[in-house]
Amino acid sequence: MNQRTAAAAGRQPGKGSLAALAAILPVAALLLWEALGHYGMISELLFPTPSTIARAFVSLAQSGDLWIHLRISSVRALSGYALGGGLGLLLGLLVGLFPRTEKLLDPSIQMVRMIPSLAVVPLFILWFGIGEQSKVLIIAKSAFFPLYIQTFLGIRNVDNKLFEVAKVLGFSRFKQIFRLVLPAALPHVVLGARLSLGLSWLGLVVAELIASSSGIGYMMSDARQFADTPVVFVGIFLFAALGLLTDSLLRLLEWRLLRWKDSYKG
Amino acid sequence: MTNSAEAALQPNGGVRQEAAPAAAGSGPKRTARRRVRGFKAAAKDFALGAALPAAALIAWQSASSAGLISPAFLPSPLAILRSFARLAASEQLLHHLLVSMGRAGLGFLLGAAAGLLLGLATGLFRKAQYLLDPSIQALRLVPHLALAPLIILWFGFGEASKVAIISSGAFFPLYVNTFLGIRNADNKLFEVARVLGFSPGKTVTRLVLPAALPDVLIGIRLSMAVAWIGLVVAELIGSQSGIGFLINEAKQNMETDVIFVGIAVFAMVGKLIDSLMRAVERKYLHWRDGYQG
Repeated sequence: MNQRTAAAAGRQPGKGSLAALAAILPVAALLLWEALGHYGMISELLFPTPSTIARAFVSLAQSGDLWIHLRISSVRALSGYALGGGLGLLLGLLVGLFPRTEKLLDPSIQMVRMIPSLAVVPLFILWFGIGEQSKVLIIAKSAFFPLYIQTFLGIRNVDNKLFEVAKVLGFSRFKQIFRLVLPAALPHVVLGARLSLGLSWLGLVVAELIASSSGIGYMMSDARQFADTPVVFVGIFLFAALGLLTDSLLRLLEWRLLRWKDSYKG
Repeated sequence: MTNSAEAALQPNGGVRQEAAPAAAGSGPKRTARRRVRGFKAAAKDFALGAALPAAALIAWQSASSAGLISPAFLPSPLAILRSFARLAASEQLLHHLLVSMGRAGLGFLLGAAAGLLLGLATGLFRKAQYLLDPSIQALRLVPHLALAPLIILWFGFGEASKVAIISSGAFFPLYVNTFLGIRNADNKLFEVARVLGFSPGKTVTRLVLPAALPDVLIGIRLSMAVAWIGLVVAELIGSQSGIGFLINEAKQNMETDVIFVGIAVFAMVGKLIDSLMRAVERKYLHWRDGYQG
């Protein structure tokens, strides 16, 4: 019924035709790519065909190299994220809840934020060598700022009316923080956590591309030096899949934590 | 993405609460006194904010002078200043800076123009959205710097690969924000436009585009920031000139002070670009009656 009215109005096509429309472009591109590669119209070196890439993926997965690199990269990204994100959350809470710490710390942190996090990569490598330490720190520095800023903003954007209600109800300071400020700031904090995660992956890519002897980024940069293009493509697809996977996990968490929120669902 | 951008726009939105002006007896003397007190409070805030960096700088300099920190590990602030002056005087710095800015500018223009055009197309035409948007959203998931090795393979180490890396990053923020800005235009305005009998062309130029402008400008700012970061990486991976090359060369020669100069230049130019965009935003969005913080 609903669908029919929508179709009659000629506005929103059904789910099936939407998916079909969305798939037209990628499928056509893949087919064209495969066909051109098959007939030798494009260089196999620069554009390996999708089937070659799939074969490279399978052989890497079978030899076990892929899993070693994948594990190393994930551990790096997650520990850097935990370190940077944890610190960002902690400092954001401190700065958001106490005006005195804000005046003391926030200007300095905003100043450091202006430094592009990837420009310090050479410095970190010089200081900490090309071991694990420098990579985890580069990732942590990227992950720190989104979570810090969003936590700070989330706390400061809490509606003042709610504070008045809390005062009328006689909440203690402690109760005020745990029952009012933190739940109200949660949407921003979760958004910050997602943004931080995205930046952690980006930081990982760069850290591994520039100086590393293991991990997916290393696998890609190694493959580039030997002009092994299919492996470069495998790395790109892996990064995309990992980013999508971790982001979906956080979205699930967001949905769980923010079920009480009554807002516009689009 | 939009949320974070708005967050960045108002770093301390609604934080400051000045003393409420007294209702009665606000003679010029009292205003003056209050102004003095306001100035004093601002000075105190500034002093508090500056306390930490100043203390860190003094501790850093004195520890370096006392020889507690190896200059190869962390050169003293004065040494960094000296090498900044030396590089600036030899015009090397200016040359590298101009090369870098040319690359970032060209990459930004290409990527952002493509993002704006496609964002307009998908935002204005539903058919284009159904066809293109899912593919673009899927591509957005790839960390753009992961494409760097592929782009270098395709285009070699020349200028083309750097510009391509930068524009691949600059494309997405502007695309997403243009699309969202058009789609977030209030439906009531469309109804008014229909009542006033606007033609489709007039609806687009007089209603949709102005309504989308705030989001588009945010997208431009985000794209510029991404372009600047992409530049760093493109120049670190392989190049013969530019600030990133300066940093990388200094790393190989263990000239830590030059690395610091490079980082400072990156930070300053980034900040400058951001302030410039904010000024543009103020100029073109003064009609907007929003919360000013």
